[in-house]
Amino acid sequence: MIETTTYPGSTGRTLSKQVILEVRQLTKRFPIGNALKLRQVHALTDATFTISRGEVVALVGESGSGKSTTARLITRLIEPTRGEILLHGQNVLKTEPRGASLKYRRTIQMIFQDPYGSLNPARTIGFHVERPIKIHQRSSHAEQAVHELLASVGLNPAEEFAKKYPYQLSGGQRQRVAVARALAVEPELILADEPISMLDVSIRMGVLNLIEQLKEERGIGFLYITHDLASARYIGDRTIVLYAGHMVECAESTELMEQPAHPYTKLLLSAVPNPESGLSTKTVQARGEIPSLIDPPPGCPFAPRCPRVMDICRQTMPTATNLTEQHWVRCHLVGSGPSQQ
Amino acid sequence: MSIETSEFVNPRRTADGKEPLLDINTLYVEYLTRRGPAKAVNNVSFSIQPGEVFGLAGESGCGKSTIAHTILRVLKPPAVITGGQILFDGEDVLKMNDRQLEDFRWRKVSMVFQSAMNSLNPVITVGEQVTDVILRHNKVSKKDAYDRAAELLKIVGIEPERLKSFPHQMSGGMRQRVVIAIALALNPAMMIMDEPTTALDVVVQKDILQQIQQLKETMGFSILFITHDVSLMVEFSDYMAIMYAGEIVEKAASKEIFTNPIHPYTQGLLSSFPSLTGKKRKLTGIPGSPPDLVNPPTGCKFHPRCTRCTHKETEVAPQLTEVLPGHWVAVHAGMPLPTGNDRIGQSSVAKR
Repeated sequence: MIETTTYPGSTGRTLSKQVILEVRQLTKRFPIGNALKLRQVHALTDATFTISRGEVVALVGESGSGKSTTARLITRLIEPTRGEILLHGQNVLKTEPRGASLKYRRTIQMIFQDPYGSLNPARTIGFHVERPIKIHQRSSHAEQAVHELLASVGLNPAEEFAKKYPYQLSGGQRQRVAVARALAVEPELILADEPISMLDVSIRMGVLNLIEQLKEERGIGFLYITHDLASARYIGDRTIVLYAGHMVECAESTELMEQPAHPYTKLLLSAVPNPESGLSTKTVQARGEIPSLIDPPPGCPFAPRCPRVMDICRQTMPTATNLTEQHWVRCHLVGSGPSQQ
Repeated sequence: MSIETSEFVNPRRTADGKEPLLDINTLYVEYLTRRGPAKAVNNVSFSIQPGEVFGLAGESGCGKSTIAHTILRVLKPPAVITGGQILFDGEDVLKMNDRQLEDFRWRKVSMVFQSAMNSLNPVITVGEQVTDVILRHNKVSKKDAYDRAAELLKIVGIEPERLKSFPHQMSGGMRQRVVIAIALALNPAMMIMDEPTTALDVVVQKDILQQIQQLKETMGFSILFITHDVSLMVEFSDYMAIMYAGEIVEKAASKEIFTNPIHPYTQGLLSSFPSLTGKKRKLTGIPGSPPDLVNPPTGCKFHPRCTRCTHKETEVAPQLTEVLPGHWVAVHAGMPLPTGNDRIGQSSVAKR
């Protein structure tokens, strides 16, 4: 599926982009409580977005906002309550109803947050990277392929690294192993769930730069999940802001950071440490934390904290309004809520 | 191990003769491992003035938390203090006996631990945990302690009714506020905060830090603030020291470190944080990984990762020296100091 889009903002270039994955109205509710009192956690509501070849989409939100749920739904580790997942235009929930096929899993790979927990301590690095190759029968020369993969993520000399065990590696090196393992099946899309948050500060940029390089050299699409807006801007072509399971704003990353439209995006941006201004110069506009996701009241989820809340915000969820072609926001303050004057 | 007095450097920042509240001199701490001693804290000296926020920044394993635990004397084996002196208000903390320590801990220096969200007991109410510390250190009635607890909760922005709540009924941010309330309970002169907001969301983090700053201004305590997030530290602290592999490599006023970082490691740390504004530029971070503290590199411990090193062969470690007024750096003489475009750190951190 090829579609041509003109990006707004600085470039204005016409890029032809090939959509790898599209999700529509993806929703997940977790049942809690008992038979007498059924309650549901609304973890993710109506997530809709696309990821194209060679594009990094950053998904930003606080803890509990549904970021990881989104990744788990796409990998089909959990099944959505409703919605569609389209891989190259095909609704995989229809074609593969009983779980992801090998082919699907080969196309979409995942990197987890904790490089200390995602590798088996009793197995060598070579084993970890070789396994997907064997399972997916990607190469008859598995050992050579392993060495090439390790070298491609910067683990040199690869022969030596292949023989090592996870405990002999630093956090950054382990995360590179996780990347190599994901690359082993030549995926089109990699879901990276907070890949740098557990790493030492000085080696984080190395992993981010590796993602950028893979995007550019191999055209791999990434869903980069993070709570750190600055890294989303650094690596993400587009950024989606998630709040309490709802996508509230989406735009090209630089535009989002420079011209945030949603009050929540503004709040997030104002809370990022800024060495030049000092703490006391700007007071936080909204207090409180993400509301309970258990059977939430109708209306905008941000209404209880919003400094510019209106009556309508507590009653109806605003619809998405396009500010520019690539920048949309879900807020009654902008655009056309149902009963906007 | 005894420390020779000739090595005794005490780079105090202030020249005006003010007595520091906390004064750490040539502190050495080792962890005795099976492979040999790991030098977790190596010749560290700094002092904190009353009412000041002093930041210790560095990556995991650089010795920041070990210093915090040493000040409170809560280090456990295999850690041993092998040298140095910690003076708090003129008293030698390392020579205190148990009874003196009891009076020192919490009443003079309290601490907010790294996993503050998990440092509350899940099976007793918040109220009992706040009153516990008050009753332990004061001869007051339960009723008075409870009233004081309610007052403390109000100070940190929680309704006093929540004293009846259990920790699991509170959000992460509220639990953190409770922990801070407990740390404030005895009006300490200094609070040690070890990564107090690392587990919190960025909005809650800002909210809590602003509140701490307000409390600091009204109550007048000092803070030793420990974090790996240098941009947060620059924003929050007055003075800061950058640690690498158990040693302080640079020490100055926070704004000075931000605008004029000299040590290549400091520059690397500052260039490890992408910016929210300004032109996008490639950030490199620091190549390699932190050293093994049992067998650290000879000479400057940073040299295997350093791109500007001119003394790779030297076995001598550079000493912390005052290169600009109040700005101390441990680099070899002759190392090219950054000028203009070299200031990687300065140009790559958020500018507004």
